[in-house]
Amino acid sequence: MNALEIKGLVKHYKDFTLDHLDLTLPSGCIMGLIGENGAGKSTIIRLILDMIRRDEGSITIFGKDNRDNLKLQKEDIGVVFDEVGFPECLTIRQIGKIMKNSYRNWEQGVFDQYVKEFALPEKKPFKEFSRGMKMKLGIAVALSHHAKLLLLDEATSGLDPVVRDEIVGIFNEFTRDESHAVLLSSHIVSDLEKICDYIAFLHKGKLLLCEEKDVLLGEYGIIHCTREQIGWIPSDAVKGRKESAYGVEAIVRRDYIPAGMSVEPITIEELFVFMVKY
Amino acid sequence: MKGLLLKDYYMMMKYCRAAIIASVLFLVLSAFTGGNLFLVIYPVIICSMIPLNLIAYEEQSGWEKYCAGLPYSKAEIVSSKYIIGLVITGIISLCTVIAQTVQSAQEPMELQDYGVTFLVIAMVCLLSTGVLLPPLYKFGVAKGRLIYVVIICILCGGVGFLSAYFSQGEDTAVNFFLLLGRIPGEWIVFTGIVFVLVLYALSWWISILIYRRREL
Repeated sequence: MNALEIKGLVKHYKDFTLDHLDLTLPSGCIMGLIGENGAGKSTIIRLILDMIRRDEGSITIFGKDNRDNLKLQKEDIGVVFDEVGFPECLTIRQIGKIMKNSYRNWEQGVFDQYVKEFALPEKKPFKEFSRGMKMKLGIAVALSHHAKLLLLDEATSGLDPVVRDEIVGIFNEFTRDESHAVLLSSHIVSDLEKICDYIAFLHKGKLLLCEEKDVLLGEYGIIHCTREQIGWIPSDAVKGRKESAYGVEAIVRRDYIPAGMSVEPITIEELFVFMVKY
Repeated sequence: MKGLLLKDYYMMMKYCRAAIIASVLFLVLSAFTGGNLFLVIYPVIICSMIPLNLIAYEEQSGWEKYCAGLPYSKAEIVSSKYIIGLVITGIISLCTVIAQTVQSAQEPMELQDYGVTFLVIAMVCLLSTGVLLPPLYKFGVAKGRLIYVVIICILCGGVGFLSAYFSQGEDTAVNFFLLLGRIPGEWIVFTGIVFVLVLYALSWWISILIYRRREL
């Protein structure tokens, strides 16, 4: 079953339009939404949670329309936004009690275990937490009520590499259960490259591509050649090119690269930058 | 909704402690200074604004957005504040009755008078909260608070104008207060509380409609 299916999703703002977006996230997978600031990543997550009204299209979560008893569906969703918005006076103990009275499937034991694992201070008020601690607490809450789908909006931004690595490991662990899925938006592409099964590129409200990460990495390569040599490759196969005095650097489909021309493996970050910028 | 109410309780105990202590102090003073009307009404106004303070702190911390990910409907999120408003109304009205009991220890009042005091205080508190919340949900805390002040000024000005108009003497076509004087006091209070309860329910419903349409 697909954890998430988005079809023909449209949202108009005065100066921005999310334009007919189609996305499918199968259960057991992690999908990374990559896009520059303002590309529409957060808009998608807000639309999934019905925080904003969609103008067209449909969103289904585990086969059910997201507006069909969303309250019940949220029992199965763990959400972490870029800012974890707990009132500043609350302590971890109080937050645990609030969540216990909010989620039907809240597991206090699991929460306590995450708090211990993340070394979070139980008696300090939330306002005294560092950004890393706040994000960890948000993640601990999202993982303590048997959620099947995690929606993470820039959950790793602003964190130091050690904490990011730790958190990325937790998401990886989460999807070992095949009924679980993660939709993770970030502009830190290296994090997404580490853990994602699927990658979706967003640019100015449009979906540039959505594909399995391994397919993308296998399908495209980076070549360094002359202007004349790049002309030998069909323009459809060239995803982006950067010209300089030293020649041309281009991202191309591997199956169109002429024999004998050397090709280097590409990173997701390079692919995204070339597609958007060049 | 238990989780939301629990969160509001924790926040109230932390952020509204000063308002609660001030209210108790004012009521104690009123009990020993002959029931000065200002000392009785001021705590009611302070306490009726507790839901506003809670929403202001929530806005500041980003709770509204975070809460959208929790298993609560928008109606429940709004309703929690109205329930807090009802609980506060009950407590402050009861405290006022206790203060009045202390004050009238020399001359014990009739049971009916205690009931009237309770209902009048409840009316003021509910009216204040009911007027406050819809603009708050529509325009946010900063603008909502301003609109609340304007509405209260208009209400007070209106009451002042009407009392002046209907108290102009025997020439006036209808002497409003003479008319009121002929109606038993309990009936006025009863009609008043029914009117305020209807208004509170209407305010509750409007706030839910506003919040449902609001994009977070």
